[in-house]
Amino acid sequence: MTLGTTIAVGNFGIVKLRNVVPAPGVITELVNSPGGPFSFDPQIDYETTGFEVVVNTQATLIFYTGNSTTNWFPYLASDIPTVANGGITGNFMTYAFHLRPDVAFSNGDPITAYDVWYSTVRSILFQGGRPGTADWIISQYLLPRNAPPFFSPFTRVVNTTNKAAAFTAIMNGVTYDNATDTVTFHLVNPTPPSLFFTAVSDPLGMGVLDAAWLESADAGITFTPDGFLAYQDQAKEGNYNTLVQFHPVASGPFQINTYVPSTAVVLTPNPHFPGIPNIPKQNNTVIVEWVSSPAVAYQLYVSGQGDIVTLLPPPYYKALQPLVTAGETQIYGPFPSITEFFDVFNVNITTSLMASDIGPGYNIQPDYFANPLVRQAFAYAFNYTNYVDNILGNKKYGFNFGSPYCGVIVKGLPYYVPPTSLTGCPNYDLAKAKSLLYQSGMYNVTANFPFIVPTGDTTDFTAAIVLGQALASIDPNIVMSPVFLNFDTIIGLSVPGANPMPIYFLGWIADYPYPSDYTDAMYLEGGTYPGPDGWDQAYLNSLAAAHPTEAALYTAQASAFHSLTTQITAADTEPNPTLAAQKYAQAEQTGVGLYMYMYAYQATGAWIVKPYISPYQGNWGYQTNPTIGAGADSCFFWWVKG
Amino acid sequence: MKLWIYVVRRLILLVPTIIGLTFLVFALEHVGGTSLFLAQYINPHLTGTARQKLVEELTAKFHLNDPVYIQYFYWLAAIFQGDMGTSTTIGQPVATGFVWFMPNTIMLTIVASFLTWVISIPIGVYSAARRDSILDQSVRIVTFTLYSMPVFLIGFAIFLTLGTTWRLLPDQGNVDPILLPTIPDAWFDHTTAVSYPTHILAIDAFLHGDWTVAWNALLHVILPALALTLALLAGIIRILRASMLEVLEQDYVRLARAKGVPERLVHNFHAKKNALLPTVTSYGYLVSSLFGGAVVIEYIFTFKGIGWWTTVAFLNGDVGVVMGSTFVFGLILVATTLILDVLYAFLDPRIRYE
Repeated sequence: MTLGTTIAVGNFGIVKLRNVVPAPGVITELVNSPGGPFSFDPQIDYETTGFEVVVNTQATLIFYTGNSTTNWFPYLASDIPTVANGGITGNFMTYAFHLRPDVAFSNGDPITAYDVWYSTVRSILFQGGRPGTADWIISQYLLPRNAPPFFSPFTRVVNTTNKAAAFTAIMNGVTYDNATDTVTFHLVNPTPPSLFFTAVSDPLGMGVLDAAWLESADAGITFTPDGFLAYQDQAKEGNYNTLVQFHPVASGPFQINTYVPSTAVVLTPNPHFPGIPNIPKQNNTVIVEWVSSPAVAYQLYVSGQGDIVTLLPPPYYKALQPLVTAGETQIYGPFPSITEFFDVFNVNITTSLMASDIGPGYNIQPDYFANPLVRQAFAYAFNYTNYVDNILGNKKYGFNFGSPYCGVIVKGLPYYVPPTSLTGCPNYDLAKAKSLLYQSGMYNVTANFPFIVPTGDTTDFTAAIVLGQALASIDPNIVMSPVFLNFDTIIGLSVPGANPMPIYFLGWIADYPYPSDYTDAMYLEGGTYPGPDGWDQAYLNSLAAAHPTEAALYTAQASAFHSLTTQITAADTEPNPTLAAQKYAQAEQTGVGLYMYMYAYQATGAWIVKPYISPYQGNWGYQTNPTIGAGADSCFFWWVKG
Repeated sequence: MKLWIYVVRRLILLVPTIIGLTFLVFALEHVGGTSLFLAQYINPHLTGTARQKLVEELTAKFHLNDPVYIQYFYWLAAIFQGDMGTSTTIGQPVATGFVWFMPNTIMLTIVASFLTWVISIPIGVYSAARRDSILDQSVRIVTFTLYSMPVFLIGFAIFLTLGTTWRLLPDQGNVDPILLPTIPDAWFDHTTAVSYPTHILAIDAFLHGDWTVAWNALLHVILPALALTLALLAGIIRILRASMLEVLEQDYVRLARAKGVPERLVHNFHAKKNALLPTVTSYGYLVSSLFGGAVVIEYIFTFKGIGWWTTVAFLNGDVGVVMGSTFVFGLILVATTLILDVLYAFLDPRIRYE
């Protein structure tokens, strides 16, 4: 044993105590994320840093059980509604949640169905907020798309022309009953619980705020059409209610005690959270510090100034190994996340913008990647094993940071289709890649283009160099050079009809753990990626005429893409799980066969914690739910210190 | 030239100087395009037509399609109306951020200045008096080393040694976060972590009799102040030593020795105050180093001052804060050099400005 000295508060000294838990009752988490959160308002925030605070301070009706993405426990609700108990109607269009009677906000106000209803209405009204909110996730189920108010994500629900109809639709979408303390959601389409519950359990959007407190804080809603219209302005940056943004009254196990802008937040137990099955009453104070660099985060952690450190890049895992061996830290993982990374093909490159937006000197046909055999050739030229082992660093750093995958519905999601059940999943085969390029008719065609990588991502910059070398070995006329572009620039350039990026590396983090979040974004016409990358039915149909020699190829491609859209739409609205599984599998097979992407890796998560930190009931499942950040966002109510 | 004419001329020149400085920074901020700036206002989840519409709105609001010099004049016009814009980093007007964070930077620079003088004067005088002795050689080696080290390196060295390795003193923030819940709402805003009335937590805690917080906050000042001091005092010691050596060769000093004045009195009474004159003025011109160093040091130690705030804002593309800081620091620098020039003229009647 060695000695430490204490000055005022905290431990300072050259030596450390062994087998003693420092600062009992206080959990400190260091997050390598400079800049801090955007907001703690559950109906405004839409990013992971703020999410970590919101998930701990704002309760939802139900929440995920452990690491499951398909099982929930009642949180503010007294039980999980089912068809059997009458909570869900047989047509899956009405969901009723009865509130448990013993929960209250941090100011002592009881949490009632009225508060849930009020928060849901607020969520709907904020779904067109700026710079973008998560409220579309719940709103999409409650508002019709093909009838007033013609719901569209990220677009204001109420405007001057539709305010009466919008008001009615919103008031019909969710109702409450004080007598039974029940809130009821009236869905516009039949929706299985496995999907709707993902929205209800999302703290971003469905975190419950105190209606009375909102009104006292000058953030109350006026329940008239004009009142709804005006209230939407409070979701616009510059108009936020500062108190609600950074210090809302809590409905969850913790409350925000102090927020130090961009630096730290102190959470203390909500004195009126009684503890419920699955979430015990809290005794710890939590300090979350957002640290400016990984080096500083690492130093603070190893010097004992943090109990948990998150978002450290791969090289630090090697540096931590001696500490693991010495028993001074533990790394739990890897465990799967549902975050995936991939390279995106642009089948309709706006070459006129390449010089101004990316740089001069490039020369590529706008429809180079419209040829499915070209995409397939590229996919077979990518050395997936070398990527994960040596470039991503699984073998290099002795830790599994990611796994290869195929298809957008990754492992961990419902209706996952393993690659062994899919036809056409690519593997590294240069001979085949060359053969495909010959067949495409694009062999010996000059293609000098950039491979876009987010700034700072040296891993994928290296991967792009390796891929470029492989392609050049097949056909020297292919000159592919990696280019760093700021992530926000990449997003900014992803404009339908005006995207100059031929191929770029990006990823997808789930909004909710259900296939539709992935298939709609990555396969559906007009989706997040297909939209700006030329996957337009009219354009695809026109390619056959433009390339008469390969007309059959392009015709088949257009037909397959049309089928894909139909298959996804059918799968998204299928309430029968067995049929939904079949339809998603069908869509996945079609998508894989189109080679719209090169699948890089499915990310894993890991927890780096001190040895005296453990999960609730010793069950790591509580901290490994892929929907809750997978090793990056803590549910502090499920950490035990000592 | 009469001094007052000189002062008026300098004040007039202040305007184009500030405009030139701020325009240069404004242009540099816009060299990389608007994506980082727009990123503060656009959520990455926003795609498709909703994103396009927002980009159009923001482009119109901030005149992003206009030439840089036109955008600059919009900014300048807003400044003259007292509007520095809003900081997306803290979610408050930029002017509010200055009110919150400037006192901490002022305190840090005052503490560092005090420590610099307290340490450098006796060392500089003694080193000159014991010229070429082992002590003098040691001082010269150390000061040369410190003088050669960039301030961020000094800061990191202190952070790593005294902070995270030896844990002698706190190395992050303005106070231990665990103390924040204990501070009463009466003088501390828990939504913004700003204390009242001075916004300097150590002083406000002292004023309100919260000795635990006051002491802890004071401890948090030591390492950043020490880092800033080490970055400054090397230059001051070198200047003072050289000045002292020059003064010790003067005739009046020789006369004092010849009259039998003890060497200690020769140094402290005759030589030191004359040696201090160029040192004082040189120190004034190091104000830029002081504030520039504070920017780096505050960021390393996450010390909540203007420097930390400006650095975080710069990394996040929060242009309003960067421009506001440039404007304010520019004013401070120009005003400080003017005051020092005038002071120098008063102190040394031989000085005349043409």
